[in-house]
Amino acid sequence: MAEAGKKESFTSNKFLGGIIVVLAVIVIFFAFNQENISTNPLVVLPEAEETGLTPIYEKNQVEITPSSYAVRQQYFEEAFKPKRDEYDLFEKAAARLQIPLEYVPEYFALNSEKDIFNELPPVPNDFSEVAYLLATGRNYALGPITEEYFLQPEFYPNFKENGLKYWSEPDPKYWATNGYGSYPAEQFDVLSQSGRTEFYSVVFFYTGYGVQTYQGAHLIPTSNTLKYFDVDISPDTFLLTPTFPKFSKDWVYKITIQGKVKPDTPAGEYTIGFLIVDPPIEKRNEWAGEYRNLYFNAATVISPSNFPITFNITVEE
Amino acid sequence: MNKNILIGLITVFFALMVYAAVENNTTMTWVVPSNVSHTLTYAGACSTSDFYFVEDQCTLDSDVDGNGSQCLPQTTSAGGTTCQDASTAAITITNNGNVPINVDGNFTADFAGVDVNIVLKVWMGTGAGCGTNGLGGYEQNCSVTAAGNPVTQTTCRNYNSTNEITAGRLVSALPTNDTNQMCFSGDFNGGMSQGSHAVTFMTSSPAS
Repeated sequence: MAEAGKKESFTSNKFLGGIIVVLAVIVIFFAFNQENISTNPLVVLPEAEETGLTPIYEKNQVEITPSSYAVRQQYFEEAFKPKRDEYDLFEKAAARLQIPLEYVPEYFALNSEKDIFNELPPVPNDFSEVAYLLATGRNYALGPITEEYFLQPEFYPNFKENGLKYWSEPDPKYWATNGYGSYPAEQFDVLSQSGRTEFYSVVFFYTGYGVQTYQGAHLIPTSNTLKYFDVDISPDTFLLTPTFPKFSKDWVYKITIQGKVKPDTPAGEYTIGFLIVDPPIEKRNEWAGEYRNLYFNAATVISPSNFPITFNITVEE
Repeated sequence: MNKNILIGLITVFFALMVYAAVENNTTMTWVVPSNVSHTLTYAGACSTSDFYFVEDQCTLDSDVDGNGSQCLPQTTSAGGTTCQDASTAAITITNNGNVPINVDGNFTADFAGVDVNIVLKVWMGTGAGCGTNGLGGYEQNCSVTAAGNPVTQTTCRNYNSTNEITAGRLVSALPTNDTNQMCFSGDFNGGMSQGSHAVTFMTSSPAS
């Protein structure tokens, strides 16, 4: 009887032990999920395994949508992926210009369509995932992003929709002499006079699509900004190189902007604006001598005031 | 005793299930579109620096007395080749970013001396050029005067010695992946001396 009672107690303890293990697993599972909700700094993801599944999107379909794939990871890998073999820009240009296809390379002063991108570094395997993270606003840790990523035009939202048309829909009556872009053009931070007083930011500043010229640029903070913040921009003077007929290797600059709130700056909301102005005269002369008819100051023609780059800084006590 | 522990654990288990149900969070993010990008194209051989109004090429009063109007932009200071006509706009701006933009224009410095008689008239192209004889939106007295009102295909904005450095709206809320043509006439309001009168016109494109 006593032995039977012991046996029953042992069986019951085993049962309880099992439940405890199951509960522990459940608790760990939920704890792990909670951690995944937080936003982590940028991680360059390892190469995804091939799934062997066939995407639903059609060949030559430039715009990729989430419904093109049942497996969303595939979408993340494809959304920003350069599909340069499928752009068929020269075929489209031939149709647009109503000229034989073999005349198109000469029209663009290129040997082949591949030349458009041949000065750019190889596209990393996880390019689309990193670009997607940035474009969806989930991760603004831009410092680790290297030129293998930011020099690819497909890194920038709307390139496939807006940028490719300079080859697929050429208009010989016009030429693009000026234009630039910044990404992300608007950023936010919260500083505190009693805590973190410094900010660090990265902006990718690039030549506008279709631009054939060299544009000298000098980036400065507005005078109002300097009343409240010490700001350091690097580089602050640079030469934007052409994006047409091919992308050149200096068409994008990774601009780092560091700032520190001044001790007497009162708490409040501040808009820090940056402007493009003419480069110093010695740089202008140097570049004008080198590039002649193709050199222009970026600021003289088109100057995004309010602003090409804007930081919204909240300063707390 | 063991029964009580078992009941307690079962209670904890169901509590965790309820906890899991209410903590299945969705992070909602309001993202400000922030890829600001635009491209400016010129017709023919005109460019940022090659954009000339030559008095003896004007449609009205085409001589060299410092007085003329309806003058289309030329590709060289010698004149003879315009970069604007009924089927061609001198300048086209394209919004290649992902946020609508406004486009304003103004000169970078006051008109001084005889330059006070310079007048620039700007209007919007038709999408296929600048209207009849390239002067479709030309008005003798431009009717767009409020700083925030954009020009249209039939109404122009004057830049003269009274407002030359004030930003005046040329295009309102240009959508992404859209273009807007801009057309020009550089008029001479009398008293201009012979030679070159170079002034810098700046268009700016703040996000709308």
